[in-house]
Amino acid sequence: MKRDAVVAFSFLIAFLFIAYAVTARNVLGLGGTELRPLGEFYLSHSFAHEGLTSHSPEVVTAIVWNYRGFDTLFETFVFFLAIMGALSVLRLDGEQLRQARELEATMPHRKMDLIVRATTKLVVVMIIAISASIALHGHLTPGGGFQGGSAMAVAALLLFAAFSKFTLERKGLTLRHTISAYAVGLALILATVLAPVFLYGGKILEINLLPGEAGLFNLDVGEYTAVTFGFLTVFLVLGIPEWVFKNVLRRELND
Amino acid sequence: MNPLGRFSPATFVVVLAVYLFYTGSVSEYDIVTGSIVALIVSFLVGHWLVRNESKFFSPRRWFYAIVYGLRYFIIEETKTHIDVAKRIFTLRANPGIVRIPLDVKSDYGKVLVANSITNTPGTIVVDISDDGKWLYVHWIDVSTLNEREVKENVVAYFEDYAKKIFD
Repeated sequence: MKRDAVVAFSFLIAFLFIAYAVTARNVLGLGGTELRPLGEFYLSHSFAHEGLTSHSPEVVTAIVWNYRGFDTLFETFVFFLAIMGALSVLRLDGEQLRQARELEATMPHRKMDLIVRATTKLVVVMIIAISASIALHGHLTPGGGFQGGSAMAVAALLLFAAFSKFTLERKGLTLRHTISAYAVGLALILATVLAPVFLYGGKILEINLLPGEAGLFNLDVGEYTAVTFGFLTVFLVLGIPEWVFKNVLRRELND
Repeated sequence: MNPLGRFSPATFVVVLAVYLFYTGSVSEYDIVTGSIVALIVSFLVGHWLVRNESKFFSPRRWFYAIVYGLRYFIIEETKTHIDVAKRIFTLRANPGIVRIPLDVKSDYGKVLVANSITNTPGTIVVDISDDGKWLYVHWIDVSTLNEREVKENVVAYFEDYAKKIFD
C-alpha cells in the first residue's frame, strides 16, 4: 500500500517535471507558435486541387497514409506477419481442431444471466455502428481505419465475455471466415497502393492520382477490415484454453 | 434460413440512428455509408437482436417509453436521491437482500426493470434467477418482508411500463 503510493507519487512528479520542461522551458524545441516549413507544406498541400495533394481535409490521415505511407504500409505488413506467426505456432489441423472442440465441450458451461446478455447485444450493435463511423470518416475527420478496427475488436471481446467463443463459432464466426475477411482487407490495401502504378503510370502509393478522395477512403476501409478481423483471428486462436491446447498437442506426441 | 427473411428493419433504424448521432452530421455521404453499414449489421445479427419487428414500430409502445423515461428520470430519480441523501446524514439504514417475483415476459422488459432498479439509489439488482422469474435485490431499507409490499416499494411502477413497452 505504502509502496503503491510512493510509485504513484514519483510518476506524478516525473510527469510534472517533463511537462514543465517541455512546455515552459521548451527543452525539446516544440514550443512556440510559428509554423515550420514542413508543417506549412502539409497544411497547404493536404487539401489542394493540384500538386502533391491527398484531396483530404484531414491532415493527420493524409500524413499517415500518403506522405509517410510506406511506413504505414509496412506497419500493416508487420501486423500481418505477427498474425501469421501466431497462427503458424498455435494452429491446429482438422483432426486436432475436432479434438479441441470435444474437450472444450466437456468444460462446465455457465451462461451469463439474461440481463448481461441482452445489454451486450444492444451495446455491441452500437459499438459496430460507432466503429464504422470512425473508420468511414477517417479521410475527413480525426480517426481512421486502425482506430475503427480497434473499437470493433472491443465489441468482439465483449461478445466473448458475455456469450462464449463456443457460441460465436456455432453462429458462424470461425477462424476460416475471419482469415478470409482479413485477406479481403489486405487485398483492398494492396490494390489501392498498386493502382496508381498500373492505371496511371505513377509510383507506388501515389494515391493523389486516383479520383477524388478514393485513395485515402479505400486505405481506411481496407485497414478497418484488416485490423478488425486480424484481432478477431488472434482472439479466436488465443481463446482456446491452454489445457485443451496442451492436451491435444501432447496426444499427437504420444501417437 | 432464407437470408432475405433475416433482414430486420428495426436493427437497421437503430444502427443508422447511432451512426448518424455519433458522426454528428447528416450529409449525403453519411446517409449512404450509414445505410450500408446498417444493412450489413441488420442482415448479420438483426434476427438475433429483434424477434418481433411490429413491436418496434408501434407508436403506442414508443409513447409509453417516452412517458416512462420522463417520469422515471425526473420524478423517481429525484425522490430516491433525496431519500438516500437523508439516510447518509441520519445513518438510518437496514440493508438486506430481498427476492422479487417478475411478471414481465420479454427479455428486454426484464432488463428495463432490472436496470431501472439498479439506477435508482438505494436498490441494486444482485442477481436474476436462471429462469428469469425472480430478481434478487439489495435494498438499503428492508422495512417489510411481505412479498407484495416489497414489490410495491422497490419495483413501483417500473414493471407496468415494462409490460406496456416490451410485452
